[in-house]
Amino acid sequence: MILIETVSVNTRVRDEHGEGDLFPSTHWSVVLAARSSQAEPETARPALAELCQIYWGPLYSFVRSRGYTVHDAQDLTQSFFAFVLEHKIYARVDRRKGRFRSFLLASLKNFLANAEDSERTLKRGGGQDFLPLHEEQAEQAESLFQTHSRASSEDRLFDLSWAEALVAAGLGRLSADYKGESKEKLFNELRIFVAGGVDPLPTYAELADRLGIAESTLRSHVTRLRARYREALRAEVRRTVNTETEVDEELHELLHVLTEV
Amino acid sequence: MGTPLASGVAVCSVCGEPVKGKGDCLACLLRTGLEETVVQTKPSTLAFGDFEVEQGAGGSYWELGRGAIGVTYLAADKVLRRRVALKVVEVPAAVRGSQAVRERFLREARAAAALRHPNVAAVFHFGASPDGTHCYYAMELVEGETLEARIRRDGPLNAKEALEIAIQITRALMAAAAHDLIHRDLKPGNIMLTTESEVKVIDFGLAKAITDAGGEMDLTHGEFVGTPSFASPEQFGSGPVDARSDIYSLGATLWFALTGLAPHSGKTIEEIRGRKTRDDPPVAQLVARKVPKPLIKLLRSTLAIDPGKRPASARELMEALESCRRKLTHRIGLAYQKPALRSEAFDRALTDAKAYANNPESLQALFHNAARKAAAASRKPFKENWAYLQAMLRLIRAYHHGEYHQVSGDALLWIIAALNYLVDPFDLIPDKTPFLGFVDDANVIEFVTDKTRRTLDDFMTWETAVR
Repeated sequence: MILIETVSVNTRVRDEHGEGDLFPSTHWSVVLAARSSQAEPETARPALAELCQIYWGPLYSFVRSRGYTVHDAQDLTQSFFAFVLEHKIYARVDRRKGRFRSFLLASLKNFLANAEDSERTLKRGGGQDFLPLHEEQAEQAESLFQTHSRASSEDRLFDLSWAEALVAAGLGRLSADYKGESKEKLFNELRIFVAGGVDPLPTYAELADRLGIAESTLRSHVTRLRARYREALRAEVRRTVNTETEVDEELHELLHVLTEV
Repeated sequence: MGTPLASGVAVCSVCGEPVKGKGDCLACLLRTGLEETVVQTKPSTLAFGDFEVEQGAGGSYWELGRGAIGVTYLAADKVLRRRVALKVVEVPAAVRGSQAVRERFLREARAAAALRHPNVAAVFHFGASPDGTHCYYAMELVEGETLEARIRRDGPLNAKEALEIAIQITRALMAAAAHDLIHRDLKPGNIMLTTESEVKVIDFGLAKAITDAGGEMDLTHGEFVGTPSFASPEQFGSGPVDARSDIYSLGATLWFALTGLAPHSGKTIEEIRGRKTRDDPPVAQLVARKVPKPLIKLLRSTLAIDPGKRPASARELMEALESCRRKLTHRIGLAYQKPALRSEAFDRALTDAKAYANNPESLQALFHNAARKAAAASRKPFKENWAYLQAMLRLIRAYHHGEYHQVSGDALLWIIAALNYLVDPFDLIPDKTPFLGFVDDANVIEFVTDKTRRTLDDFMTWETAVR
């Protein structure tokens, strides 16, 4: 019984918004697209604000690596975001090579160079209107800096911190999804299959036994978790790049930075 | 990787990269995004000919099943780039050098590979490892579960469902008869039910090949091939075995589908053989399960101790099954005929649906209602039509994207009616698909596939992959 002409529904949804793109409004490309449009502040500001919230830590780490104290680094990071918006820095980005990560780092370096020249750029608390700073976030950023403080260069430190913030956002999104499905316990038990770590992986048999499920069920849970994480991570990356190809490039590049000697 | 690490640096147990921070491995987390294999506790590959056994996330070889003699793996055909079920039999050391054993296996496997039928999982390739330690064959990968697994989980089937499965198995037997091939180990564990409710018989004609290669000679019973509970009485003896032996096993399988039990069970082969060769099948089990009389009669004849009293061929069995189905359809038709109620209920659903179609809010309420009903009934087995459900999923998806108006009006009405009657007291939704969908309290649309809960996204991913 054919009830419906449905073949095109999925395809259409995908074609219009890009594959799996659930957050068009916070997409970096929205920021880029907005730079020449009249509606710029309405679309660009919230999009940028959300992205900046996620990547506040890496920027802070970079500022810290320049030798600023905790408080100065916080202020400078906040001021930097205010500066980006106020001066519409994003309007000058070359769209063809406009990755959010490189855009932010280059802008931050410029900003810091000017800040060192002139104290007036350092408006204490200047970014608060744009991006409120929470204590917890500040602590996490400091811990991120400490973790990577021995990186061989400031760029590498920034990229490592960025990678860390990126996977945290992906894991966070996935964890929230599982929580929403009342599968928090399952997620916590299985996250090691995605996140690895020092502890050895449990065997399927022992974990299945502990969770009281069949081994085959456990396997499919793990497969599903990995697939979902992959999508969550790629969705996060997608928000910071322009094209699907750049998602792979970005991940490869970060992995390269991480594993290089 | 490969960098000498200062002692005391924590490294990831999976990929060996240094681990910092909270203890998660950043490299593993990034690599998963690139879909590279991250977890490889068993880096060596297991390959037979052109077939490479796939590894699960934990690095273990991906087993689809394990029997007394052989293991079935999920494997990749490296040449044709497709996935297959690979059955591997370890040849015992005692007969490893035997050219006769090897040839016998290849001869049996070759005969089996000639059989192609929609109800038989096709054999693509067979071979023996160069060192003679293993024999293997690659079979069509069937997505689904065995009849045995289904019954153990959901309990016995009703007469109509069981009969439909028996008919499909019999089609396979008819095709095999044309090749003079007998299965010899027909049993619920060798019947795959696909996700689209098709039946595929696996290991057709290979039971003997496997047994030969595995050197499994039962000392008491000569060359016993099969699974005692589902084997025919003559398989316990030394006499010839023909197609009527498979007919007996099919009867035993049908019995199992209807009752969850094998007709003759026992703790030892001796005990089972004694019952099979001496006792009539315990028909009381069927009566207790309210199995219709025509079906009981059919089972009596297929399970006759004397092969001469069974249907003489698969074709004859098919005639008997179809006659039985006609009688049952007639009976079921009478028992469930409530035309007034059915049409009234359905008219009401359609009237409601028309009202709902123009109002997204009531549509949402309808989803919730359907959800509650479905959830309340989710313990029961429930059948829906596959196409129907797919349409429903797309509607839900389109609805979530605010695009439900792009679905044609008639279709929307039907689907809404289906949703409203998700718990289907009037058999509104035709049989076939073992899926049940509902929206939970958190407004998450979930699908219950048997006991597996899937989210909509999982389902869509799976559906796309299948397509």
